Amino acid sequence: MDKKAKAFTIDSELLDKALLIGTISAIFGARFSYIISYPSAFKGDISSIFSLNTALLDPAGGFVIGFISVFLLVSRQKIEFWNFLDSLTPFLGVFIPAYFLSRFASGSGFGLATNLPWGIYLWGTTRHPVQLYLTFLSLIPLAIILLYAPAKKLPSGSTFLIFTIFTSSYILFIAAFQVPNSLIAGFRFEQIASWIIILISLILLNSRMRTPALKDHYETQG
Amino acid sequence: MKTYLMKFRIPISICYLAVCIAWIWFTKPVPDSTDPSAIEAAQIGFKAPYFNLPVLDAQEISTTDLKGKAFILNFWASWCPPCKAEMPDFQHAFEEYSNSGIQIIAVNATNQDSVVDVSLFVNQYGLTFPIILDQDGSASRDYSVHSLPTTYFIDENGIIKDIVIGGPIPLSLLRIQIDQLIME
Repeated sequence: MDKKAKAFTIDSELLDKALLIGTISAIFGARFSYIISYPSAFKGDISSIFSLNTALLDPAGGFVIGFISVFLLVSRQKIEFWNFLDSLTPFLGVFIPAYFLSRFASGSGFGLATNLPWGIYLWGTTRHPVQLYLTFLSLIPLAIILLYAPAKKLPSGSTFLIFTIFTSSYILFIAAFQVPNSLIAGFRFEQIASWIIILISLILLNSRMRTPALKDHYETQG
Repeated sequence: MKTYLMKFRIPISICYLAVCIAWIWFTKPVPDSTDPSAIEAAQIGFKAPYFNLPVLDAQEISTTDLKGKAFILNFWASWCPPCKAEMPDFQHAFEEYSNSGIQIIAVNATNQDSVVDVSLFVNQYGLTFPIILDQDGSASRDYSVHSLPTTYFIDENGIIKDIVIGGPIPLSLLRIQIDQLIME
């Protein structure tokens, strides 16, 4: 990951520092977000604010606060944030398969019932091994990143956005084989969220592609 | 090829988004017999596994007795330090929510404990909620309890809503979970 950071002209020490600060901020942020979501529960039990129990963490709030912390750190260093996101992509490429594998180990995010020969017996019936489908698919962008990133002649941010589009796409596709966790208007929340992420990423990628230097390059080509 | 993709990137993107919408539409979930709420398993969203176990100093209690009531199942042992740390909060929550209809049940892993130590523990901490004895470890197996304490939050339909592995569980978390069970 340090080698890839250098390829994106990002100091690997800065990347390590950003990940450390982002992780610590996310943990504190997750606890803070949980407390402000349920303030009355902590009346007469202030000590539980410092509880080591991980059930008192709000992952969404932690992600937002962690992201803001990293953004502020990178801005202060006067580093282009898109370049920084590109350098972070190899880390995501490793983290995401590990995350899906952990869900396979815990039995969460399980699949719909199936008669296919590669089905696994889990929670009372034979199911699609969706956690394994996701793990295998998530190795493809990792391999591409390790072999080809950074892509020449593409503007900064393209590696991160293309990675995001690919990841959200296979999540959207494979979610159809999962037992739904939560629904929005009868549709799987994971699919709706993935579609929105794909839409936003495509809009941002198009906007990055419209940088004058790149536009001129492709117009002169043909 | 690259120039073609660049030139028509917007129409290609719109087509791709439309294909994704079609996939979401045609793979809309349909309830079936393998729906988790129809299967007993120690996992969130599934029906809580059946048990019928003796209560300390009383008769027996089974999941049938708890039908229509939300309840909390806490697996514990008298030698387990986080269990000792969280029991006063369970007692506090039991008293605080005594009129809510939520039942707290402590399942002692008696296959790795002793009834004498359990009785001493209950008297020491002044516990007044049911203490059931899992003497052969069957409930711990059915509920996939691999570490103590482990706590299951089960709604009035018998569906597991949340699982907290490890402890101690603070009073604030118990309040939040119980309030969510009451709201459902």
